[in-house]
Amino acid sequence: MAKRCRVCNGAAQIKRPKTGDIMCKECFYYAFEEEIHHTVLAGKLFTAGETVAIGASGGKDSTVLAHVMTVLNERHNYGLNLILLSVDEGITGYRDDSLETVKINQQEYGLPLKIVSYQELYGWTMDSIVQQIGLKNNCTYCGVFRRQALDRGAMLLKVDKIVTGHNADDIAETVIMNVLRGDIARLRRCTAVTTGTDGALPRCKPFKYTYEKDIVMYAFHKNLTYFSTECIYSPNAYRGFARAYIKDLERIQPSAIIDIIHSGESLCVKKDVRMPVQTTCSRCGYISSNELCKACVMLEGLNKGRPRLGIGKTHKERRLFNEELARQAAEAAATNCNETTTTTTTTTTFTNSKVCCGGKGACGSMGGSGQAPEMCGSNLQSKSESDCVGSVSPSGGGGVAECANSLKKVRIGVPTAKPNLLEF
Amino acid sequence: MCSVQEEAIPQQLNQLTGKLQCVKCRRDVPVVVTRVNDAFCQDCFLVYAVHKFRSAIGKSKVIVPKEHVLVAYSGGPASSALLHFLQEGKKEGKLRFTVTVVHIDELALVSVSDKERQEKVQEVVEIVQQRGFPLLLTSLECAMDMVKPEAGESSQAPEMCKEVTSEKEVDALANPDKGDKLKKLLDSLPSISAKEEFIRVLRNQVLLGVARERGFTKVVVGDTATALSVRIMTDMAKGKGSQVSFDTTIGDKRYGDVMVVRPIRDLNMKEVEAYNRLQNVESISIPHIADQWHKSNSIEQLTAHFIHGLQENFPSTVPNIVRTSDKLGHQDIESLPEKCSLCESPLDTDVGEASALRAVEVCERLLQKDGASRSQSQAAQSSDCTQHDRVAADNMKASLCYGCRLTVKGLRDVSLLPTHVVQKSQSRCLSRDEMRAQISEFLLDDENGDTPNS
Amino acid sequence: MAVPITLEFSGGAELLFANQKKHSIELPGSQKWDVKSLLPWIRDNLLQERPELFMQGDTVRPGILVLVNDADWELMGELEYEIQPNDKIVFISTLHGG
Repeated sequence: MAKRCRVCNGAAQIKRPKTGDIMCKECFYYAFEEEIHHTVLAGKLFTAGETVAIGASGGKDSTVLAHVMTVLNERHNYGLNLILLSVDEGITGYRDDSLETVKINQQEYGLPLKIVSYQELYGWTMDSIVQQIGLKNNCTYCGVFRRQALDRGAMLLKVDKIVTGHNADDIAETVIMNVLRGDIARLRRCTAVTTGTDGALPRCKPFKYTYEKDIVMYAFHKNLTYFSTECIYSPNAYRGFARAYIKDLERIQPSAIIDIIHSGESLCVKKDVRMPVQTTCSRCGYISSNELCKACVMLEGLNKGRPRLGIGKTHKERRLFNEELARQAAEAAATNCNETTTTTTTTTTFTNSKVCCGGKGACGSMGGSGQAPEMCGSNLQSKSESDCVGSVSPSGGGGVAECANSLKKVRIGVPTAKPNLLEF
Repeated sequence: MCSVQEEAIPQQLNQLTGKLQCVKCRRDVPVVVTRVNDAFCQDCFLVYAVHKFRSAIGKSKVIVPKEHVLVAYSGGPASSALLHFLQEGKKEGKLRFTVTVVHIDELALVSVSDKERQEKVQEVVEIVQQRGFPLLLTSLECAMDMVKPEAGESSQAPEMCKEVTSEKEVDALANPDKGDKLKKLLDSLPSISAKEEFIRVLRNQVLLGVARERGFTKVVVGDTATALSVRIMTDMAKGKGSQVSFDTTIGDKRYGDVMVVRPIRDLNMKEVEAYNRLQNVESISIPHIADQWHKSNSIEQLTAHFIHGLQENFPSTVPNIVRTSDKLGHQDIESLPEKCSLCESPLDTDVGEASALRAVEVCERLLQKDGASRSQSQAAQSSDCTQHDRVAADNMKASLCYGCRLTVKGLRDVSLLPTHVVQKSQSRCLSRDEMRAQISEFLLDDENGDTPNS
Repeated sequence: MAVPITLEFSGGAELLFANQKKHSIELPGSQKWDVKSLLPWIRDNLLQERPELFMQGDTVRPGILVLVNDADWELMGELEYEIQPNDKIVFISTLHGG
């Protein structure tokens, strides 16, 4: 029952879902790799000399991504410096194993590896977050934190771009999800092959038109090591419906995945539809549609023991929080606390304002959400600000500082961001 | 890595706990639950439903007073409700335009006897007469041949429809030749999803054909919110994302000379069924070829199953999807590119290099990377179709939108398609070839390709 | 005559089989075995939990790839393929994150 390869007439072992073509292994590898090369060229993803971070999770997409990027970089002389960038969410059992796989990848492809962890960036691991809030919205936290973690890690490494292993199935699934949720802003952005060019670190998806099944076949036949297991904190059930729908569609008509992406690309938003304006987070400088980016809002909630902050659209608590912010800002302006100090970390510089307690005995103008600013343990009623300046955690993130006198952790006030450093 | 990102989880359905009062009048016992957990009594619900219908037309101003519009009636619950709304409006003197109903007989696709076919159509005639509207009868297969013959012969296009004023006048508009042509074409389409899409597009073509023949500029259809949400998802799945905004808007202007109007788009299927129940509106159950299709082989049925399943647990699903499509638009009608020769929507194939369409073409190109394999694949092809067929197929492909290309993919003989479609594809490509011939002396490259760039 | 074959589960599918990737088994009885009859046998004899994640109806759940002797099962006849002694059948799940 031997079928012949469509291209070279050799013994065929693979039937490609995208086109239904029957191929032998070698022709499949070639087609697979060259199609990705075409996506790179057509999307003008890279420029020679760039440093590119590969988002590496140890899973199939990122392992194959590391492999193919290495192959194409050499075969077609992209001239790129490739780095593996991995995120440790602090999920015992899940992440430890996959990180081991990434380390194997590092050796196999001879690429430098950098691991950033939630612990060092935010002061929380996923395990501790779940302990605090349970299993209901933990995926939302993880998703927000991971996205920013990748960017922050990339910033530390001074890379020009990030590539992720999002494949055609992922993109199709996201398109469907965004239609279901009515998220018109994301719907417009999600089929772009490069996102984040306006001020943020660009992210590219070379696998945008690559089917997940092809990726698995490639990894299997080439014997690439990857780690695959379900996150122990079970995933969002809603997205699972979209995934099942896509898989069922693929079974009826294999081209459906690419067809959905084409549909997504053909959508055009009405001119008078209000889109969220992208600004920067007033606390840590990350790109955001609101005053505070999601991660800062969530961290605020976690640290205050009120983790529902940050979930859902207009939340009563967020409204209260924003009102409190406004009140504190008005207050701080009234007390003439305009002294600024500059603290330099290893790679980022940002300016702190309102560190001093303004002679009121309170540290930091952002004492907490909806509460009066915290009292500095050493009761610096009439001291000047120089007594109060702490050090900023070198993670480049928002601001957890230690009052030099009382060693009490307080939140540093609003950084006045230097746009080119903080917008990433 | 976990692929979940920041997203809000929609509200799940909460159980209705002992709601004893209508939410509107707070007086009577509720009989209908709609929206997200709102319970209405009978009177308030009817007011609500009628209001939705009338304000959809009134606010959008898509139909002007004294206009004569064509209303499509399939016999199903949604279009039955539509006719009832119109009749009530007329009775109350609130209907400011006049109505003619059209019914498309699709029974050629199902194996029923001529007598059964006639009986079904008579049922339709009776109901429309009860509503008090004039009726035009046509059939799906009429659209297979709508082309005006060459000048010189009787320059009349084949008749699309007949007026029917009593059930005695019904001799099935069955046109066996065209019926066979349609069946042959459907059999040649390889997949069920392709068949269902083709039938849907053809149905539209029939409506447009009747409207154009009789001089109507508005066609009113009974698309409910539920049907629209399934349509949107199906369009996305079939590569017709560019048509989503047209397929769902209240006044669909893509055809230029005829506008499709959707006045019950704010009512979902459950509300329509409740209305029919409370007003004793009868619908006719007519056998259809789609009855034998299943969610395991039909994209539309799979999608309907998916949406209805979600809607059960997340009642804001349908409104969310429709709301998304409300925010979608399209380019200026005037500057719109050519129209697809099958579905008459603007073409969506003029895309840049970084696109799904190109990516698929690259796949195909990579398979023919060396001369040996190209001749081999050509040899394989020539065994079952001639050079002429291939050129015709290429021309046809170039004149179709992405979604319709999928529909006719695998169709060996494109001449089986309706005559107006074949004619449009030929005339379009001829003009491009003519252009190339005219400027050929100025072209530097000697291109030997005789098929236009798709 | 029992039919000895090797089964492999990967891509996350092994989680349903007590995390064991390779299984050497013998299909009992003298009847002809095909993939269609193999699947319920696997479900009833090897599967540790959640059969709905492995099978849907009488075939595998969408998203699970099947290879017969390293070739895509679609090239071998899918459910109708007749199993031969010493065949290797691989089930790869594509459903887990990467």
